[in-house]
Amino acid sequence: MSEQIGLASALAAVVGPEALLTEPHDCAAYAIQQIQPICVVAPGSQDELAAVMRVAHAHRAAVAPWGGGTQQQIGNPPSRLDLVVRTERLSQVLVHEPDDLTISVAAGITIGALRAHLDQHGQMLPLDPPLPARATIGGLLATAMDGPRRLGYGTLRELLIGVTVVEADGRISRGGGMVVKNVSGFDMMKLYRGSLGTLAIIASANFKLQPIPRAAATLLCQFASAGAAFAAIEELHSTQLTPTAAEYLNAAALASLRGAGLAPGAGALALRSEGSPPAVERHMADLRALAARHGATAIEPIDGAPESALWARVADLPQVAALAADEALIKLAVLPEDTARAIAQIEDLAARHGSRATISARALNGVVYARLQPIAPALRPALSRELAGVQWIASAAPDIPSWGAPPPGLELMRRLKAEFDPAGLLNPGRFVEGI
Amino acid sequence: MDRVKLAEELRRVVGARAVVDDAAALMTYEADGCVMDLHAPNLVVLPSTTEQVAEVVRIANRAGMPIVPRGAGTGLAGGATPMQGGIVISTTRMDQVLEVDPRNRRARVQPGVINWELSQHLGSYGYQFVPDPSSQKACTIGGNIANNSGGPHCLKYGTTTDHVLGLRVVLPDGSVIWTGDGRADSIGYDLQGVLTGSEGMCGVITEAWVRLTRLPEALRVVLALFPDIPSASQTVSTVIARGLLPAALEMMDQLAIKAVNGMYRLGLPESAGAALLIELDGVQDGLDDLLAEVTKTCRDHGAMEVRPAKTAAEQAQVWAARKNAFGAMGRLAPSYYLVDTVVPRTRLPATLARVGEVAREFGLPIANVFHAGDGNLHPLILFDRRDKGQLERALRAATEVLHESIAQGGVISGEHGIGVEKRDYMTLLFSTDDLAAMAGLKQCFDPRELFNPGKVFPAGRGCGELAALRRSGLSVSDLGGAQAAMPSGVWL
Repeated sequence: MSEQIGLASALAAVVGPEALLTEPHDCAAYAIQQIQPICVVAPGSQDELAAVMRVAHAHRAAVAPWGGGTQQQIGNPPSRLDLVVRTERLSQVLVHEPDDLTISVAAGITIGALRAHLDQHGQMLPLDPPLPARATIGGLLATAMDGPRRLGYGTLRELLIGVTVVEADGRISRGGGMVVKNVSGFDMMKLYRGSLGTLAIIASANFKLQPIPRAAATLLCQFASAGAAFAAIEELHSTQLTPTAAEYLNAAALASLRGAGLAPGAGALALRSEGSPPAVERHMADLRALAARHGATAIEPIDGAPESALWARVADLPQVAALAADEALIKLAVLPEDTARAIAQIEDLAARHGSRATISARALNGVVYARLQPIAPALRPALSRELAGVQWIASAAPDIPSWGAPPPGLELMRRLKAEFDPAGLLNPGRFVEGI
Repeated sequence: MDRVKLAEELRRVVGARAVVDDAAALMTYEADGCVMDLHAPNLVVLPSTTEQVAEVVRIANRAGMPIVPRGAGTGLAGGATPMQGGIVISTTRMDQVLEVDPRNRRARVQPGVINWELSQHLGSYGYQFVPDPSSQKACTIGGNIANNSGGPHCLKYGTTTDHVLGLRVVLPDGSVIWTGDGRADSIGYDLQGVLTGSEGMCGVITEAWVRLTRLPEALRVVLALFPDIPSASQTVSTVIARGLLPAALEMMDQLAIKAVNGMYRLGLPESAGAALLIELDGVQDGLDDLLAEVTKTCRDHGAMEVRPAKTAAEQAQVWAARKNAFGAMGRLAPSYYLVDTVVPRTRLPATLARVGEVAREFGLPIANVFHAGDGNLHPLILFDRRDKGQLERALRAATEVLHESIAQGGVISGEHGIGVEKRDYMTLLFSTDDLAAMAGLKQCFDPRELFNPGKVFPAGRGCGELAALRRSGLSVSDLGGAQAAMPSGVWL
């Protein structure tokens, strides 16, 4: 207990008492998978963040970074948790050079706030993750979260050009820069992205930007079967069209978006094009013809505000911030040609266990998100045993593994963890294989 | 182990004809395209399989010998120079395209496949491997991955790292892993992201899944001639700022125009101070509107002439001139020093103005042929290597360009890498803590520092020392003036 008090008073000396929570009922809101921290701190600057980390390191306190708190269900529960470090107050646009199409932001900025800023300049960071009003850049980098538009614009992996982190012992280090092409030194951005806060805390990040396209339109195409939808996807794959999103929605997913659904077994494709008005028009014409050739039962063109609204809801489908106690969200990554098979497997598994599967998939990327509810006890072990390509599973159930099969290079990953966090203080236990 | 015994052991692994130990033959491997610092390897092996590479690495480990992976040796930063001798692993014999899988937009290739040959091969399927360095007719995919190579089309499509889907790597301990198989995402730390661009310091790439990109439906190529560099670089800045999204946006200045003109019969007016080569791609529809907008932007900024390359043959000719511009420099001077730096795109006009001043200050002509759309400069300092005074001035001029790029908010390499050429400039760009994190990363792969030693990290404070500093828990901010005392920018 005295150690806890020591930690709390040392933190208060750094950030001031108003940026520190120590009462259990306050800290409860920052529990990660039911593990509650003893302190919650919100540093107000990068230097304060570094000072907080030095204090934590000196006290050997286990630390979990916390952005918007929307993705804390991803990964294992922490094996230890003393301190939650919030990035909420690190939410500034640090440098934006509109004419360079680059930006540097503090890690706690939400993607929504960033969008609002960039909108004024006719620019965008083309990432459309779930819950943009809450999800922060730091959290999205740490979890490597994607969005439907990764087909056209890639993920943050391709857009990240520089990073500043605070390491486990409080030292600040940087990689990359503010230019769009750079091989000066090792690519530290790749190391930190997707590392779930287990190597360092991301303090700020630099990105290349895109101009907001002059036109955008979407076709929502319904098919009598998933097979027909994926035959259309297969043909789309072979064309020279350049859609920016091609999302497959199963009947339950479409129903959750639009109220009235499709017949069970049916599927839909939301196909989006962005660019110059003639290019978008051409895409809409070709995509419509393509969908018709594959027997689409309904083809609905959507543009303007309803289009943005539709995609916002599609983007939210894989959110894990509000998982019910009997619900799981599974992310799979498979080869594009295996996407239809992977979806069929999930639906079959769900059906056998009386569970409902709500599925959305980046159909041309081979990335599938499936929400299953309820998760019967018999279904739990089957998830990772029967499904191929599981990346992670978010759920409140303790007997569902959080990660898919151990990756190659695990020994090397353990060495990286030991090198960057020798005392094992950063999000301990939460990553793959308990790293 | 003595050299004769080592050679024998290696011959048993890779075959008698795949070990080079003849002193004259070893000279070929003393350097790559950066010939400032020559070091002969003890031996060169030319393995054909991953298993052979792994065995060679294990033998080198036992012998405590450095390993230096080498592709075609076209690098310009000394990445393939065996700074401490040791064994060079040449990928020359691993030159097969093993599998093309259009359905999953991936191809599996050996590292010694020539970039150009891969693209030619994929073209018949309607696909391309996007990274297209100027050396693409000689450089290898393994080298592209090790250096995270660029090229004109990386403006729209990203550099090599965006086109690597999985790597088979022999790690420094001799173990072999695949980092991925072409799936969009993987679990765990992004090992292939870290390995790409690690300049052969973390392992040997023996196979790769690379991304296939569909060839665009339509292309437009236009060559715009400007009276001077400022008007051309303002145009670049405007095209980028307006979001016209060209696939490539390249610049050549007057000296470069002169050099390529004769060779490619472009008939460009040599009164032009600069030329921009702009390529647009995508679906047919709307492409001509975009072209008109680009053309208008050029004219608004004072272009003297805007020439569309109408036929595929004309387009190829314009591109050949650009891609072979470095070779054409031989018409102007016996030697050139190509400096690779990047600045934010709005800083191009100011940086290029300073490059012009540097040419005057040091009394050496500087040609510019570069990836303007990315802000990736390539000033070519022309000199005569036989004249020691000129050589020294060339090096000082290059240092000046690097300083200027950093002062403009830029970096010291966009696509050629750090290697040995720029290792001592790293301290201009990065703090000791920044470098120590990179050193920690390197040591996780290669704790004994046998892989391509003497690269990337400054000579005054090597990888081992940086990593040890980091582990000591001391931060540079605690050390006071330590950083200022480090050697910086001293080269040759």
